[in-house]
Amino acid sequence: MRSRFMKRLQWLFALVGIAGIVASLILPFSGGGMGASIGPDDPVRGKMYFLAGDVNVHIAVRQGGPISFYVFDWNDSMEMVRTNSLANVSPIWSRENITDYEGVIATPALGLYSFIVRSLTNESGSFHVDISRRLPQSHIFMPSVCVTAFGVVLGVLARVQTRRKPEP
Amino acid sequence: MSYRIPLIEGLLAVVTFIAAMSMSAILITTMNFQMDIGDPLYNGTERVRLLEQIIDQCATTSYALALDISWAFFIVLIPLFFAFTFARWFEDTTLRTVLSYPVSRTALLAVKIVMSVAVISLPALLVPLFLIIALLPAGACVNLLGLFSISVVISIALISSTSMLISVILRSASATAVAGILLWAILSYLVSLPDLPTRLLMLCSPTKIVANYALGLYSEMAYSEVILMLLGSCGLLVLLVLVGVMVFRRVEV
Repeated sequence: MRSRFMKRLQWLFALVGIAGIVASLILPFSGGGMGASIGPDDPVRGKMYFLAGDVNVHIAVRQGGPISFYVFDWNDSMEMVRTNSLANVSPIWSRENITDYEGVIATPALGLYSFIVRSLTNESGSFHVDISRRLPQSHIFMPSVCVTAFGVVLGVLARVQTRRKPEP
Repeated sequence: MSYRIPLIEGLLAVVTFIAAMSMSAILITTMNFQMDIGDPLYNGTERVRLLEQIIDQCATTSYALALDISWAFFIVLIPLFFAFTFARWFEDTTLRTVLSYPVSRTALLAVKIVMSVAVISLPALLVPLFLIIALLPAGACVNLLGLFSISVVISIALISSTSMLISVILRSASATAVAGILLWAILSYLVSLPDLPTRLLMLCSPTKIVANYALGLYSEMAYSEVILMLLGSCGLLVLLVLVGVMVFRRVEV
């Protein structure tokens, strides 16, 4: 009975963990990227994404002067929208005064993040940001690997227990 | 009975996977926002409220999608579950042994259906909800949660009771599995058609109907109609269980 319970737990952890690993490997990225015109009338543009790991970004100014690029977590995003200002918030990642940038943004946890572009000049311009997930998405992948490993360890323990049982 | 196929665990893994995928597919470009720095009429509180409404809508949509996609797996896994845990009892004479104890057939059937509905419904309802709570910001809520919960329980009970009925009639694991999957595959195909051949088909798939209602696909349907449809599904469920009990009481083991 006990061995059957262990077997159930083993399968439960292993299969749920594998489901998480597969999800982290093929997580789609909807609406990947943003591009818009930016000018003196609307100097700040933003978009919000759900992230479960690091992302690759390629920021390019197509027309006009340099821009600043910020990434905020949910709480700071809401504070920014509430106060209509970037003064009282601290980004988790930022690059100031850029015209072309390619790199990786590391996210501290699962969640919603806003990607904000701010024009630094008074002239009109346009920009494009390509965003893609770095697979596997670490904030899902690592916990799933741990859950799978726990399932495997339970399986091994159940096997050892069964072998130690004396023959009736 | 030996424990060979981890169907319940597999079902939970499938639900987890589907919930994760439907979460990621939802949070998309609708979260565009533009700030109007220097605008004296800017109302930040109103904009935050609007963004929170979008998040609530995202939570509802992802929950509806997770349940809707899970339905496609339930119609395969639940008949399999009943084929291996009940119809097989007829083949290997386990049922004869069980019924040699003072256990009524009605009680046995009722316990089988109630427990399977509880065991399958709980992960189906709780895993996507847990993911929404874990992934979306605090305060995000799923609209129509009560309606979703009732519809999932009724849907799983409907598949379980038909699988039970097929098991009792066919008394063979493989035949139950094939007939159950075929029946529900045909019914789900008919329900998914844009023009339903008959509105009565809606009674077979309450989860799909409530999910489509939450997604806004039935713009002409009123809330009271959804409640009526759920009541109709309950009636169908009671009828199926009664027929199942009557057949099981007469069947030779």
